[in-house]
Amino acid sequence: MTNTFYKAFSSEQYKLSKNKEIFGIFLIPAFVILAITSYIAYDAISSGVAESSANPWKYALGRYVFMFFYLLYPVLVCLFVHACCDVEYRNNNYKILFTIPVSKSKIFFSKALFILITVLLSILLSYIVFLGSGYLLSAIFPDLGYQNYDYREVIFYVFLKFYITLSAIAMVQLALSLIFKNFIYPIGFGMFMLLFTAMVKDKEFSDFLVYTGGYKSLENFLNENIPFERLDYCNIAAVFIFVVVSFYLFVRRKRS
Amino acid sequence: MESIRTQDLSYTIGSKTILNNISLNVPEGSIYGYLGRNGAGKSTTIKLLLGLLEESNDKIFIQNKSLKQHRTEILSSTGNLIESPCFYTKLTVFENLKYLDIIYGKGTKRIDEVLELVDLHKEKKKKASALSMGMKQRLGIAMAIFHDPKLLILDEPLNGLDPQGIFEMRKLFQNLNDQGKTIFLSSHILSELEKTATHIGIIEGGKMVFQGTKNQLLSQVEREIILKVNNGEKAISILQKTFSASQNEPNKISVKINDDPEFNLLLKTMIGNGIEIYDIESQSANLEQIFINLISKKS
Repeated sequence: MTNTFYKAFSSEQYKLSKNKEIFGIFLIPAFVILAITSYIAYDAISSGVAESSANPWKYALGRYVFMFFYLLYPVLVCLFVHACCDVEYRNNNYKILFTIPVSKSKIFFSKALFILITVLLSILLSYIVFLGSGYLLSAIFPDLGYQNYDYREVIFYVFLKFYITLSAIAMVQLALSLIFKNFIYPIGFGMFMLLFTAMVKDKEFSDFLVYTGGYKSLENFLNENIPFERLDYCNIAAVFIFVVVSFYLFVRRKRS
Repeated sequence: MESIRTQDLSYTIGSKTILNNISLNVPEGSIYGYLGRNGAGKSTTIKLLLGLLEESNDKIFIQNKSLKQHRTEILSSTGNLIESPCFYTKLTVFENLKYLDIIYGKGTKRIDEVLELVDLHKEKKKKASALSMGMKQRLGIAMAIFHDPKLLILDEPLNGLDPQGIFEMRKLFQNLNDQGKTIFLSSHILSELEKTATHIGIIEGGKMVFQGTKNQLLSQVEREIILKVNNGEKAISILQKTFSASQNEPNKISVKINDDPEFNLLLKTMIGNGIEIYDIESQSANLEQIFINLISKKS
């Protein structure tokens, strides 16, 4: 029996995990956190540790990391999602994909699930490295005061909301990558939307733009904003809406 | 039983008719050569047969099953290579076949077996993008035969292969055919099709202009018989009354005949009139000449 979701997912996972971009989405965010941690450690060594009542999770590690993440992570997601589609565009490999004895719907949902799982694992890795970095700093430099604050709940919710945002961005980018063969259009659109939403982030309609979530995660972190808001619900809805749109585009796409 | 059957298959893009009432009958166990000029509709037919183009009227039957209703079942017993070989360039030769193995579950042993068959076993760790043109074509064929399909649909499978490669592929196709597999083959290398095909279909302008066995096709055209006789003058004057004959050399006569009974009549006429025959040479038209004849008649 070839036409099973398990086989479709296993084959997609095998093929897509050979993309170099997958290392980018896993390793670059972790590297950014480690680089910032190293900088904080270097600063503590070279300038000395000043007494401060401010929460270092929030104003040191978190602020720097999310200043990078809100722009960098969505770009990495855009590149990764496009790479997952590009593998089929190269060499006209849709001919392989549509002549294997697996239904198109199973192939599509395998692809979409693989993207969502990869983003989730990447966020999980970043979350673990972030927490680990804070604990490491608290162990090596107790004077920095990381051990004085229990910020785990805020960190968890900020990363969770950020994952929802990235999932929504991934599904929008999947739809775009299924429409445009050339990477310029989906990646360009993603970049434009990131800059545009940074400008309009305070407008009410910005909650309906999935790309706003990146910048909002920085604000969430600094304002200790845990509850789910309209933006988060819109992003959850966007994941489902764009999965359906992408499914339609995938099934209806010209196969020759 | 037919391995592929289409009933008045038509396909249009906008107002342009690409295929017009094509009724293919590919017998099981045959090597079916599908011929046609560029743009005649060969690739469109093949894409329709594999479900890569949609046909809404349920007119394609493969192994007696409707393609529309049994798509995945049919694809699991069909191998294909369409136009240029498709494979994942970022994967190695082995990984490309491993990808198929995950779907078909044939095992790693089958990967080695197929690589051995297409002579790519030494390149199994090479990135597919780093292969030469001929090797890429072999990889395409390896991917087409990996799951041991009953039917192979190959569009220009000999593209990019050197003479040795073409010879080996011909042997491979014949071996596969001996194992009972049906091969539907489109190629512009007519001399190769002449050597391998058992059945021929010729398409021109979206219409079938011939379909049948290779022998039926070859017998459709005139054969040229060259006779060496004792008296050329007498022979030509007698033969021109009944046949289309010409005198090439003083004692060499060329006669065009259509079939075996006509050949028998030719011999009887010669002997009956007391003409001695010293040598008979038969020159059959080859597939290329027949193809060009048929196409030029049609156009």
